[in-house]
Amino acid sequence: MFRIDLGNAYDALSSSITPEFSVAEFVAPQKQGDPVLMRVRIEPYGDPLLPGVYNLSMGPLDENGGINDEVRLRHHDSARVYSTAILFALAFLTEYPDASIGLDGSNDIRANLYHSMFLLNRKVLSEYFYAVGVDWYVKLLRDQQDVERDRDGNPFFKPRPEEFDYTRTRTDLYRYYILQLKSN
Amino acid sequence: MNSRVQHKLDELRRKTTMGKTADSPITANKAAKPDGLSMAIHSQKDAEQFLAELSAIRKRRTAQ
Repeated sequence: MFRIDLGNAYDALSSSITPEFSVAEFVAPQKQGDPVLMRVRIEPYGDPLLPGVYNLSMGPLDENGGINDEVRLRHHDSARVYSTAILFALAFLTEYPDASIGLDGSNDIRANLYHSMFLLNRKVLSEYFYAVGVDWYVKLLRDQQDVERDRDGNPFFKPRPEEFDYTRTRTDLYRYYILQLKSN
Repeated sequence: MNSRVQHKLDELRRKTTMGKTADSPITANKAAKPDGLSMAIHSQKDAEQFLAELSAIRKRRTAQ
């Protein structure tokens, strides 16, 4: 696992920070082969019901100019790559301090990555950010025999954010991770 | 703030177009994919409650 060091982030080739769409690009050397052009993107969460919530994604560019966040890369220095993304998140939140930046932990690999990052880098991250974890919960009905369900009969999950609980290990992952700018 | 971090932030800001779309950015964007959070927000009420809880966490932390 990697240690975040914001002072050791890669230099951005260029970047743009706006409320609608923010992006930074940098070059990340690989263990084998050519360096890869990486993009970090922060943009409003796709749900109009959630103003002020932004999504961060990172990866190499795909053939359509979007981010390929599925590809597995072998970075020469993963710590620098993630430090670069977090530095950009800090730059964004410094401009828009009321915003929240989300990291989607909907698959186990990513959730593990974010959870480990928060646990291992508690000290450095807590210098600049408040960390939030989001669980899904389902309501137990009053008859205590069943849970609330949607029209299709699936459990009706709702999000429940809480201050990141550092006693929770990677066997108890959150579903979503959020960074907020720490007030000084 | 740590001076190395401040230096990196300043460096990044120098290369950053703020508040408007960059004149020559970089490559086009593709819309973000919906993820788990959207799937757990079913209504305006859910969203309002979620945002209120987020805001309460921030206030609690700020007060500490």
